[in-house]
Amino acid sequence: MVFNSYTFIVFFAIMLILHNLPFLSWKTKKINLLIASYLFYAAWNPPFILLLWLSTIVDFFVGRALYTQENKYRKRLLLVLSLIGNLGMLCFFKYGNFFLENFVALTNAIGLDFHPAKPNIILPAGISFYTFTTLCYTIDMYKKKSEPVKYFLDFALFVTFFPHLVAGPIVRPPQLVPQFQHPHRATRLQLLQGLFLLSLGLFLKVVVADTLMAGSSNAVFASTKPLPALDAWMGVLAFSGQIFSDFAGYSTCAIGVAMCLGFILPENFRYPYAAIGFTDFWRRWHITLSSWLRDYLYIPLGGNRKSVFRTYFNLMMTMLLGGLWHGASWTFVVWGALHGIYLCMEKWFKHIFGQGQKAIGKPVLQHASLQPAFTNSKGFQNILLALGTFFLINVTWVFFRARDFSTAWHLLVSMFGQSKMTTPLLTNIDVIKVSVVITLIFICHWLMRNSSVLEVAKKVSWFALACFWAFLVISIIICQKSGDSFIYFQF
Amino acid sequence: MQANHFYKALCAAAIMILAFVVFWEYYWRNRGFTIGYNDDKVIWAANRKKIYAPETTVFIGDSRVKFDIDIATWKSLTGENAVQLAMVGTPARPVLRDLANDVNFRGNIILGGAELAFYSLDTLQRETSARDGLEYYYKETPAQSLNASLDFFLESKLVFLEEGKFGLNSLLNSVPIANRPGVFTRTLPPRQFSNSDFFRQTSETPRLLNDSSLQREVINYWTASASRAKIKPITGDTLQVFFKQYKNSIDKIKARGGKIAFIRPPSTGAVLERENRFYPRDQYWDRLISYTGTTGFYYTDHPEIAHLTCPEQSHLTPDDAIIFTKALIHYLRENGWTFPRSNESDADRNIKQ
Repeated sequence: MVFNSYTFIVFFAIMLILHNLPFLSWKTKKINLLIASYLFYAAWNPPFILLLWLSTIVDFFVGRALYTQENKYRKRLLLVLSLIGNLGMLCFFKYGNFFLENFVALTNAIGLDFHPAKPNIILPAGISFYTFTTLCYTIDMYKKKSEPVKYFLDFALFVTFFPHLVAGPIVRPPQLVPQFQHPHRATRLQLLQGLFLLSLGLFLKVVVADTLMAGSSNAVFASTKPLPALDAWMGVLAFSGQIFSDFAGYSTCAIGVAMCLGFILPENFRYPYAAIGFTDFWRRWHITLSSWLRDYLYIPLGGNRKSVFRTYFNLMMTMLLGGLWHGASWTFVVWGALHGIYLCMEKWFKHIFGQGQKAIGKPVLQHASLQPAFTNSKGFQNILLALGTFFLINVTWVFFRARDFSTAWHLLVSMFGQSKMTTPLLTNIDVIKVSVVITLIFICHWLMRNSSVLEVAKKVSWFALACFWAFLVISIIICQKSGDSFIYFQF
Repeated sequence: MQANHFYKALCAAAIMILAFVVFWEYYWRNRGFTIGYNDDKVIWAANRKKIYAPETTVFIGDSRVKFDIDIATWKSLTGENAVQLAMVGTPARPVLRDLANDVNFRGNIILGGAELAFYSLDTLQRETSARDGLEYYYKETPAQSLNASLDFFLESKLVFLEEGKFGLNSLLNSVPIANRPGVFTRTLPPRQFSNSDFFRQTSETPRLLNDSSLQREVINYWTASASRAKIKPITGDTLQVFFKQYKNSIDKIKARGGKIAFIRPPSTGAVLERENRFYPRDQYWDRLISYTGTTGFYYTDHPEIAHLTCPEQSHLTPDDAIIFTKALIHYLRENGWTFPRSNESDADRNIKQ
């Protein structure tokens, strides 16, 4: 089920009523939430709910055993079991085809005639998200970072809670489990703010991503002809707006829906296109993933505690695997590699100019930042730096969106005006749509970069807020698109 | 305090939204628009599900099939279940192939359309709608199916919910802004042109029937579309392969006891002239019917419908669609097709009734 559907509106209305019935016990309400979460997931593809159950059951019992087990070797064995279970499932469903294709290419390259039948593996929605959710629990148990969840119901709900289940935010046990332990019901303010965030999230998804940006982005990335630089840039900028609005839209809906039920989910986006540098970008883009990668990959690899070379290596490994997490294709790996290179270069500049500061206790990707030199000063220079960052991020989106390297290369050549015999593709109305929306997104991100939407909503007059809220909903009604799935479901 | 701030904003926003919905619906109704369904892959898939009922005939092809066969007349005269699976601007071939490969489908098929769409190859974008529709049908999730039901309910109540006509992109794309030279624009015909119902019966609107300037606008649209398409009729071996592909699918359906008939509905004026020039009957239609060994219903062979004209040169009026459908059923009966309702009344026979 997707948030931008009539089905969800009915589903959510029923959930709100059930969750607020005064005569139901807290346990009954939690059972309702759990059943609803399974329904939410099964409405996509019912058989895959078995994977969710398997993952939940295994990790609940293995997690508890990991916490209580004193024998070092048994403990390691249990951790390996959990990793094999979680990552094995992810590898099979998400990377099975990718591994096979590369293995075949390798064997053919060395002269072996190996052509196996292509397996028809369907990717379960959100598998990368719930795998990371359960994985962090077992790793935390192994390291005794937090207490094991006492009740299976709480653990199952933590894994399955429908707002975050298929596309995040990726939650950690301490962020959500305690909220299930005691009766939770939204305050009047939470309910209203939740509805406002849900409206905003749907606006980003339905109006900006699906209606205004998707057409131009799809047309440009599907084109096989050489394009003028204007069309190529418009297509890439459109994707830039689409991917942000799609994913931030989902996260905003998820946070809003959870808030309406009285639960708080972590923030996942903080106006990323106003980032000054790439460290800053990763503090603002998919925050729960970047902090997950920091805590469960970068730091265990050694972080910046070892040699300079090792720090760069750790940074690159983190970003390469982060890229691969997004999709089973070398184009995603290159996307991650570009971000890794950007971050390493930032760190190198920082080292050269000696303007660094100790980054202990800060998010992983902040370590390699130019940011301290500029964040304290405001004005034109910072805007230029933000625009430069945005420019380079757009270059990375080419690899993220292109179906193969040939398409990516063809588009990059067009973007830098090197294509010959070009044919314009986008209509002028498309060019206007992309230009206006991207400019507004950038301005909005810049103005809001140190604030939050709820803070601003509190500050403005109630009538201004009403007008904005009405604008969001009316735009959704005019667009009418419902039921298109979110891009990040495939991850 | 803060809750009051949000509460007042929500109440005011709700009033504004409600006022807008009432205004928006009134505005479109006041301009002569009536309830219609967005003719997309979702409603196509909903109709595709109905083909397994016993005694079913499926119509496939392009918009001419959608306009010119009257489903209500077909159902009433034959007593059969009738399913409209034709798609605007789309050749019949991909859907025919799908029906041929679906061993659970045991019905009959009527297929046809305008030559420009009918004789186009897989590689052209013309088959995009068919591919999208089929992919959606086979991959539709339970959530999407339920969402479609709710969507259909709302579309049956509110005019402005027809996305293809009144959605934001449709409104923006109708803003007259000139494009750069060389840009291929996929424009849509005027939104007053036609209406489609839940069974995908498409009809010209009363406004079109009574407004010659609107008819001229649609004719200009066909001319511009044909000009952009740069018609290059397939010939030689390619055409032979094309016929063979049709025959393969037809043979599979016949082997399961199904019947197939090709139809060529009327067109007039410049559209007809263009079709006759690029696709002479003896080189395309006659060869197709002969090679596939199938019943063919070409409108000029039947005096009772040969005179029918199309207001915008390409599709029949709703009244003429009834006449065309009656003539088709009559012809099929004569050619050995049997229907649950076996007797043909005088009224049925009286095609010009």
